[in-house]
Amino acid sequence: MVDKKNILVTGGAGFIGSHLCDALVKEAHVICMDNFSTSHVSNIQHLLQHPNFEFINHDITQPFQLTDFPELEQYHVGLQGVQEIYHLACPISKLHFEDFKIASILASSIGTKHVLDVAVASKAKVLFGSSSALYGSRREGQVYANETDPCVLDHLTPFGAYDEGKRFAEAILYTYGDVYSLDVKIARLFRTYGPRMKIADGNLIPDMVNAALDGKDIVLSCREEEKISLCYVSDMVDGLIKYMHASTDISVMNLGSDQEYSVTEIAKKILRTVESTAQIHCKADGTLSKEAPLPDIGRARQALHWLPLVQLDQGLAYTIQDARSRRTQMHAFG
Amino acid sequence: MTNDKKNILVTGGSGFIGSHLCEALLKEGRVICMDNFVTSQESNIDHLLKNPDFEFIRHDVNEPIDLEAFPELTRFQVKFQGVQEIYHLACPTSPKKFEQYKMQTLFANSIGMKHVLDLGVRHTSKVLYASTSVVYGPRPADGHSFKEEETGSGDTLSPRACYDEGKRFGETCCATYAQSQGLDVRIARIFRTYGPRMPLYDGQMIPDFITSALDGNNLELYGDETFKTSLVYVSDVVDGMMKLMHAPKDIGPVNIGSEIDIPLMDVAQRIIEMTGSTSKIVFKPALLFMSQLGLPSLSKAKEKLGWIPLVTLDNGLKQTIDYTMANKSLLNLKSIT
Repeated sequence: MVDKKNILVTGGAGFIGSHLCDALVKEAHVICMDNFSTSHVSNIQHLLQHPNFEFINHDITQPFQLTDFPELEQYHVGLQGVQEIYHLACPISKLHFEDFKIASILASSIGTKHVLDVAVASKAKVLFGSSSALYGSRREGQVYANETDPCVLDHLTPFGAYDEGKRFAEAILYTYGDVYSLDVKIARLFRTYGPRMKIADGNLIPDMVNAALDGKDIVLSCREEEKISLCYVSDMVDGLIKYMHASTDISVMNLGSDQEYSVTEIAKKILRTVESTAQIHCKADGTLSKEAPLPDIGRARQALHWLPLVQLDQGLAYTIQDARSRRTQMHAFG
Repeated sequence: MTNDKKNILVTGGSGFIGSHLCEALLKEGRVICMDNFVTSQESNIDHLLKNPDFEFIRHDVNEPIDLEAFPELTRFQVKFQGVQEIYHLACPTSPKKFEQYKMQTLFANSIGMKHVLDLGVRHTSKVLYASTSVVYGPRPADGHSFKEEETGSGDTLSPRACYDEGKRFGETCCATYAQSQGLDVRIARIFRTYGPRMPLYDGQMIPDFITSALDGNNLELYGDETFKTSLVYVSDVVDGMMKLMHAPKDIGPVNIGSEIDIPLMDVAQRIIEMTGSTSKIVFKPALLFMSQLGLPSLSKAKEKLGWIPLVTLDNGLKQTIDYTMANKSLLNLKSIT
């Protein structure tokens, strides 16, 4: 009997991680590792009874081996190890960024080392969730960022802990790939949205949705004409899985949407969907936001035959639907 | 024993720069020299071991550091006196054995860095991190000198990334601990340095030029006649680091190096002349870890530290040659064992 693959997802209870687990349990044993530092158990509640899903509460900055956890014996990890690792764990909170800075540099460095040590022991493929932050802010004349573009960013700013952490993690991946002949893949994720994004944590879309559902005006802290690109989470998950299955020689890949929308346009769509008559205000402080350039997704199109499929209207409708049902639940149990 | 001296920790203290730093620091404090001899030599600190203000502890910075756990430090009363200053220099640096130490390089600048910063938080010490000119990326095509505020343009996915990106990340760790923990950190971006006690036969070129010239062998230059670099003498670097440690806090990273660009071939030629040798210069394929580096702008070091390099190339080379001649039999012996 050919057994199912064992797959480890670090940060598996996070926004993207939990959607990835949802997709992976269909065909593999999923070991979801998280310590809920900025994620929540509610994201994976529905998976806890699934026979292909096992949750491990572990902080990756502490060393670990799969055999440390008796609950994984059912997947024969002692003999079979894991075949794939999606390494997404990194504390992130836009609103409480300060509180997680040191945790962030430790997860990106020491945490990444521990995950890669497990990969070496299992000879597993590793896909790392890196960030569009590496490309720095949008610059004059640079609309799209290509994987081969130089990554120019100031590593000593208050955001350095996250940005440089991701950069250094990429360097660790590359070095492990080089020294241990490990199959490593670096996905640079651009702005993603969808159900289960944290509310009241500085995330644009869920906060706009929440305000709209409250019948409140949407207050934007950016300039009116500011444009962003948005990739729906199921598309992102699809891209991650396709990348994991791709040939070994593609070490870095942009994943995201190359369509951009003005923030006010998105806000209008949200208000329209919830049939709200509230207003949109911009309390622009004139400062330039740190928005990344748009991803050049030519490599993903060509190598993975991937491109984002979910239209913004559709994605927003799903996101609003999820927010509504969560609010009902909160109300019911509140 | 008086209790008025500072306790100073130097990680990588038996390395090339570290050992010179320990020597200079003994004039102002008690020095705890930490090393695990990955790419350094015990002989660099032999002459310091008898000094009552000097203590060596063999420890890998990638393991957590608890100074109170070392019985040999009891006389420094670390428990009561704490540690006032920490210089974090530990990181493998070997052009020839670069491949072999890639993992340790990654870890010294992340895990080791964390242990050093945690120690700094615990003892409210000032921490100086020995960073490097490579955080700016390779020598720029337009030849401009690097100013500290430049963001740099390193490649995260290169065989050198464990060092280049590791050092950048180390700087970020320092900045993050300063922001989150209020730790007093200083970042010295050190450019190419030379002087006595550079390891031999390791691709560092200058020490090998000298031994080759003295032995009448060919001087092997890894690269070609266009290879240019700036060179700062080690005593100047030590002086710059100490001035940075004593400077007011929060001045950000400071370049420590020489602004004078010189073809390495001219340095080799000068060594041949100074040693009265008949050796020739030959070119070998370039080494990954021995690249032409950019040049520093020193305006910040001048303004904030009142520091500039003082030792001329001729003087520095002379001292390095004298050292090599004095230790030649010993040095050659070491290369065989």
